[in-house]
Amino acid sequence: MILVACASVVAGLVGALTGLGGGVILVPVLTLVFGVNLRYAVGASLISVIATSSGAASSYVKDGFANMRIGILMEVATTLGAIGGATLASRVSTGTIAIVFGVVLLYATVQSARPEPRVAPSTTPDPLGEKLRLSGVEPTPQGPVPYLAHHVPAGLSIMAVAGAVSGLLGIGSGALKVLAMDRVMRLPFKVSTTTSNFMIGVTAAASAGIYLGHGYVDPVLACPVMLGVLLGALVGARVLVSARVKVLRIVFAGVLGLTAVEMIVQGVRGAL
Amino acid sequence: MRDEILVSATLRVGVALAALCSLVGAIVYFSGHGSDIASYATFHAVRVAPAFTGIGLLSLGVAVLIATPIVRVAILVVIFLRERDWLYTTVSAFVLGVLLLSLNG
Repeated sequence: MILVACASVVAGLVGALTGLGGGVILVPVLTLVFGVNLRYAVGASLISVIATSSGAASSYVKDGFANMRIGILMEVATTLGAIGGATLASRVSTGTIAIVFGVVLLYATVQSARPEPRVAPSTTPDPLGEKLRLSGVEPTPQGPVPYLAHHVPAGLSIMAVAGAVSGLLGIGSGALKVLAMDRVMRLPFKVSTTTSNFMIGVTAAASAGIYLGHGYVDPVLACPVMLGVLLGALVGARVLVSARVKVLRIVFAGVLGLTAVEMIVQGVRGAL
Repeated sequence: MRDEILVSATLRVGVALAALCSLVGAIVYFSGHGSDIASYATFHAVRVAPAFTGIGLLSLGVAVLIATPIVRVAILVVIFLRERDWLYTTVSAFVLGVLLLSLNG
């Protein structure tokens, strides 16, 4: 169990350094290395996702980047999606979940290793965004810059998918949430990432309710894992400022890619 | 701005409290079960109730942690209500309802 806690520290550290989040690394480590049943691993991962998200969000909220209106409106879609995903998780085999997990991990790894060019925040008016008052002011070094959310229905749809993925696999699916806000709704990047972090905890709490009901959350496993990931994430956030992240990212991307393939292989074999 | 600090403090206190419960719980639990070899290879549904034992504290840690984002949404309902922002009072109340429903389902 000490080993599991130590591995969780590493998962939290790598999660913070790669920007992928702890859950994506934690679930393969627990299942492939420690032979933990996938359902417990996903349950423990969800708990650690709530901890890291809430811990990180507390500092972002104070900085004034996170937009509470956008966050809570998007949470309507993510929580409903999460309940759908978590319910689905209890109906399908662990092999199927492992395969989906592998595919998502592979995709996330490729995305993180090769960041796409940024889209500039749009300034054209959007009637629905204005009607829902989904606007804000981003504090920047050049002074406050106003922004407005666009394509709200499309953003909500992606959020529902993000919620479902989170509920099915026990991960934060922060990348998908950022994609919805940054690329589709054309919000400033910093607003997207901080609001996403803010939402991850609420989304995971919706899934965790369902997982608790099914007995997938074992506190004896979940708590040491949560403490480990929290510690790793805290250290990771500090290191991030000084470390040569680019080299680290490429190394981790390779390892995660192989892990993803292993998850798929084990899932197909029905070994998990 | 005071609202932001309140939300931020709620999250911080919630996570700290959950971590503390887990840490104490883990120490109590593993000092009693130190030599047990934990097996999670086979799945069986776990149901535990909080009590002042190792496992009870661990469960309490999980419960506090899950409650943290839920309390945050509840605070948001109050904030929007106080601002007489009926649209977002409804939205946040709906999310709160979904969360509470998921705990029962």
